[in-house]
Amino acid sequence: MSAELESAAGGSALAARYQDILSDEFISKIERLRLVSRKVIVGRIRGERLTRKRGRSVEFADYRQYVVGDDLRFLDWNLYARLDRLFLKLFLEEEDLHIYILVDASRSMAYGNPSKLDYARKVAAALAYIGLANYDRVVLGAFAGGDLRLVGPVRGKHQVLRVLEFLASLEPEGETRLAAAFKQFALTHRRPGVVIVVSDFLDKAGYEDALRYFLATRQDVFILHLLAAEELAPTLTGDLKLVDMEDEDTTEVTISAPLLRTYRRTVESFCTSLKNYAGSRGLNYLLASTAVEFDVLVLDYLRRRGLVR
Amino acid sequence: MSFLAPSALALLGLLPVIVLLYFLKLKRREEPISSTYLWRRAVEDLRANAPFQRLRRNLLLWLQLALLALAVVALARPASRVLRREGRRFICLIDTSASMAARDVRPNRLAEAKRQALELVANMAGEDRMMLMTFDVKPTILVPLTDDTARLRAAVNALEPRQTTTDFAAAVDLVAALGAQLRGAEVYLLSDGGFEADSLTETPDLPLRYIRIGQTGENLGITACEARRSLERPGETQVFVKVQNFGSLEADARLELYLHPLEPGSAGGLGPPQLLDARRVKVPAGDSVGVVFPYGTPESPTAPAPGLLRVVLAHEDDLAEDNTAWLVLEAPHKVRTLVVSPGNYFLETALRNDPLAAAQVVGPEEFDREVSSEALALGEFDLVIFDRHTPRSLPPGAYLFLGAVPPLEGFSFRGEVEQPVVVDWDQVHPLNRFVNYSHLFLERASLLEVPADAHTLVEGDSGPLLLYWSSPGYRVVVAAFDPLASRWPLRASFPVFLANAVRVLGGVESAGGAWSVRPGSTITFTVPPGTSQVTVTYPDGRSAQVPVRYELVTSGPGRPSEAPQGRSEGREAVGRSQEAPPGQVTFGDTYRCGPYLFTLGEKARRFFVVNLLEPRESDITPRPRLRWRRGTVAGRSQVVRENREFWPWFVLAALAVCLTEWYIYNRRVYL
Repeated sequence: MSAELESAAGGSALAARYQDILSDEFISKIERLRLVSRKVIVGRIRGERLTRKRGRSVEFADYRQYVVGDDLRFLDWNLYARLDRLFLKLFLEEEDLHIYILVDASRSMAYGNPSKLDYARKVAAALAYIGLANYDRVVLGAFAGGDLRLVGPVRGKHQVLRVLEFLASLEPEGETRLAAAFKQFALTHRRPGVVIVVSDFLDKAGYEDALRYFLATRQDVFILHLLAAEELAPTLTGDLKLVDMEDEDTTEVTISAPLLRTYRRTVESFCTSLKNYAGSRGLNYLLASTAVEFDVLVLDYLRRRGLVR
Repeated sequence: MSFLAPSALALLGLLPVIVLLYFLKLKRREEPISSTYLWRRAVEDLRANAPFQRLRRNLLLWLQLALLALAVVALARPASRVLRREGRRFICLIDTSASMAARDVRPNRLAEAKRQALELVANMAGEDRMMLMTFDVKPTILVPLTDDTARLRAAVNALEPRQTTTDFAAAVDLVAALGAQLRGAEVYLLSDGGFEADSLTETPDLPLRYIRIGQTGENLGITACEARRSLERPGETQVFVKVQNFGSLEADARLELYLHPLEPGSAGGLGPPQLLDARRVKVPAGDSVGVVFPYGTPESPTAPAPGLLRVVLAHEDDLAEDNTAWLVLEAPHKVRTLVVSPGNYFLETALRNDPLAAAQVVGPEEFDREVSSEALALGEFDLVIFDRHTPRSLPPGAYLFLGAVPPLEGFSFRGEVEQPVVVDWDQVHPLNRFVNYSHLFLERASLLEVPADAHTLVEGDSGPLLLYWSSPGYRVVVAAFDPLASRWPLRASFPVFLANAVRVLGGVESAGGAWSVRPGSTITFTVPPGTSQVTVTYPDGRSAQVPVRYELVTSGPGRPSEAPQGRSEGREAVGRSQEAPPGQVTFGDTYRCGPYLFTLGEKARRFFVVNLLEPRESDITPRPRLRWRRGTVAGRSQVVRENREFWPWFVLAALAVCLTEWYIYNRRVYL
């Protein structure tokens, strides 16, 4: 563990508890990464100030025509003098980057080996650490059964223990109710930033309504669709009574090659439709399997997709 | 295609059980899953898109049904008539002995054997060839190797049961002798195995197929029957009958004794039968019981008149042929003895004092001159004693030679030995009964060349001193020394030996046993000269003519004698003798049991009886397996036709289905 984390944790014994979530070795690999938002211009000196007050930046961005009601202070009088028309100067706004990491903690996430929740924990911890290391404002949330539990915002590496404690405290419980959780999130967190949703999206009510809550914000939404390797390519055999881990619903199946083929097609179309839905609405989508080592996911996949740089 | 074990097809009833089990079976394993959301959609998709899914899903069921069906069909032993290999050669060996008349298979075993043989013939094709042989007391080739099925069929149809014993070894010897031309042939033995097959030491190198005829062995039979006359009281007669039970249950039967008295006037020579006695006998399973009927004794004072005795076992069993036995009962008489001697006081005195002997003494010259061989041949004397005299020829009869060599083939004089010593004697032979030879001191004895089948009664240090030889028609005792040249006549053993000789050779004890023969044996007897024909009446009433053979010199049983060089005297005698020699009747068609009546001319009649009396034939239990060529051959009850069985293919198919089922079950790879 890095020196900062160690000091923040207040001792190696405490820090050692979270080694399985975030190891020293991995921290050294992600130390220099940072999270990137395409929608939000990150101030060069972001996080240098601790004040909440935000001024407007001096960096010119564009002009637009004046309409009644605009702040007269931003009129370009020079242009008015030359062209006899009123133009308003637009400046890029400088803001701190908010990073929201939402982890699905429903019972379905307990499936797989390693379980999807464990995997999601590690990914969330890594991303949060990247954010903290870059003085971004990191909000960590876990949703299960329609509830949303949040921690943060936190900023700075010394806060990493809070993040890890929160992640370690997650237990799979409740059903997946994306819509309720996302609605709650959207109502309370409207600041622009990067929203990373780590979930299996196995919501019987569908994900479409839920994802709509992100559309109205200026947030850069990143969907990490996490499925267990056993879900993508099941190794089940025999005559089975499949029991839903969330709602105890059962389905009787006799595993056969055609059924497995159909299942795989179904999974594929499920992922594709989620991807298409997200893509058409400006949401980023990445399908992740627990079969992929999570450091590969963070260091390679997410990098290529432009979430981290 | 047919099934050899069609009852196994009943197992097909298990098919619905498998289907039922399949419906009952699905005890599905519970498997927690993250969400049934995707699975449910997949299942619905599959149902919508694959109409044969139900069938596919039940593939294991279909495979299991197929597996069971194949296994059941294999158990039912499907078979088809074999595609005949052309050019096969068979020897069809049919047992026609008495036990084949058993009726445990209807109508009887021989008929069943004939049916199977006909089926074998019907199965012949192309260049198949068959030889038809029967065997009972002797083997007979009925049809040599041929492909003429009509001839074979006719020969099989003409087969009749013969009430004889079985000599399988002779049949095997014949097959072995034919072996060269029968190389590669198969021997089909249609028999109940009622013979001593295990004693076969060498069997031909041919494959044997033993078709076992017969099912059970329930039989009660007469295995011994004899009439005995008391030595001292000629009027006393005992009829001894042995009844043996070969079945597995105790038998209770009635034994009846009938007398058919002689009636010279009647057509068959016999009067109406009289029931003399009847007894109830209880024979435990596998055991035997002896019954004695006494006559002329204080308890049963009347002796039966001369005639034929018939013993009947009134009992229903599978073999009827051994339930009757016949005996010839002669009138009691003394042993008519002719002594040809130059004078022997001891011999004549001993015979004179024997109550059973009626002796007549003639000198050697007188014998050669006056006693015709016809008289000997016709049995005017029961016993002829030649004391130091050798006759020119010897018709069948009973003879005692003292210090002389019988003029029979096989006997010759080789020289003399001085003071021979008695080494041993046969103490159980009836002729040696109560005789002790330990004090027999001889001055000299002849060295004799004797037939191989002669029985030595007294063994000397240089050769036999006293011997007994018998062959059909002949019973001869030869003493190779002159008793007068020894001290024997002075000892008590001499008259005792003579008394034994009178009783044994004179046929006193057997009371007609000489006239009883075994089935298939040859009956030989002499007839007066001039008899041109003899009529035989069979037990079933048929009659036939038997030719009479006349020979110039009879020096052996039925063999014309080549007069040896050294016996020119004998040839002169033949040339000189103008008297007509007696004729000989040889009759071998004795394959049925019962009385045979020989009619010689107008009034002379003679009865012979043929009795089975053979435990091996009465034991009709079919033998399950035979020893053959260092192995055993199991009898099959049927299957003359050859079936080619297909069950191994069905088993293979079932195995393949089983493997497929296993593979599919484990890999879940459906179609």
